[in-house]
Amino acid sequence: MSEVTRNMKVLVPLPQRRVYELRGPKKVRDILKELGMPAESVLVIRGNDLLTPDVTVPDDAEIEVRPAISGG
Amino acid sequence: MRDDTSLERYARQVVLPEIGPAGQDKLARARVLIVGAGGLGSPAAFYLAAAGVGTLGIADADVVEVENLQRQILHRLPAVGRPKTASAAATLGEFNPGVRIVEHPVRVSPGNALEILASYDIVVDAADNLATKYLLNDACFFLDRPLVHGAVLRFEGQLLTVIPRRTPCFRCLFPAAPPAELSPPARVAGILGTVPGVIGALQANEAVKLVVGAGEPAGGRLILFDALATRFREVRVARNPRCPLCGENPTIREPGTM
Repeated sequence: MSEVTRNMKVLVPLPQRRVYELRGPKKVRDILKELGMPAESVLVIRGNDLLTPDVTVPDDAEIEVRPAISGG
Repeated sequence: MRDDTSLERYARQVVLPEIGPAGQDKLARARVLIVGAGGLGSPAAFYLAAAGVGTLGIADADVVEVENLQRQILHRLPAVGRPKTASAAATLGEFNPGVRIVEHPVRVSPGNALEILASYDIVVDAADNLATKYLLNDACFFLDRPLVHGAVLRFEGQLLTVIPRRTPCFRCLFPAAPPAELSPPARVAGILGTVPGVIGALQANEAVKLVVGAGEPAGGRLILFDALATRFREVRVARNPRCPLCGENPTIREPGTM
């Protein structure tokens, strides 16, 4: 029997929309490290909730990473 | 004092119990500063002037350029080359002569922020760069002024109202600025003109509510607008105990450090 593996989806909407698939579960800080994003400059969101760096994201989750934006 | 003309002008909002004559008087006495007379600042200024905010400060050091006109609806073609503050004052003066427009044709900087902001009750962050957004956040904290933050890029916009020491500030969410490649300006990444139209109008809405004391400000909730999906979302945000500005062990002692 083959093992079904599911990857978490990480949407980065800005500055260009990108979707990454990462193997989970993984802590937020490790996800950001893998994506090369500074934790102090982005929000990590699941649903309507903000995830802190120590939260573990399950392998079937969909999360969003949003950097601070500057346009006015 | 409101004259008969202004009573008629503001009749549709005075009839709202949340505003009424007392709220209109508060608006007439209010002093609101808009930093940035661009995509966000344009609709914010129009709606605040329309609402009868007594004194509207407009801070911007730039001149009007042709490529601004796609979204910066305060400015007309003949204003190209003129300072944005003068263009804004001319447009708003014609729109509602009952509003006093104060021009600040300078870049708000660490050297002048506290002095400029101190004479206003509320600050609307319609700036087009992160350095100014952090600066306004910090200055409002030190002056204890509500800040209505807005930012836009491409098809997305965000809104957050900050009541210093009560609701999370911009640095609670983003303690440090991202590298430039993660946060390019609109001239590089692009911006649909209606996006600052929506967010700027919401910023004016927040400022009016704060002045009259109606409803709930968008504090502790980051409002996200996706123009492509036509969807609003809100993300619950909390004060960050490690915030370098308003956290438990602050390291920022004066406004201006990104």
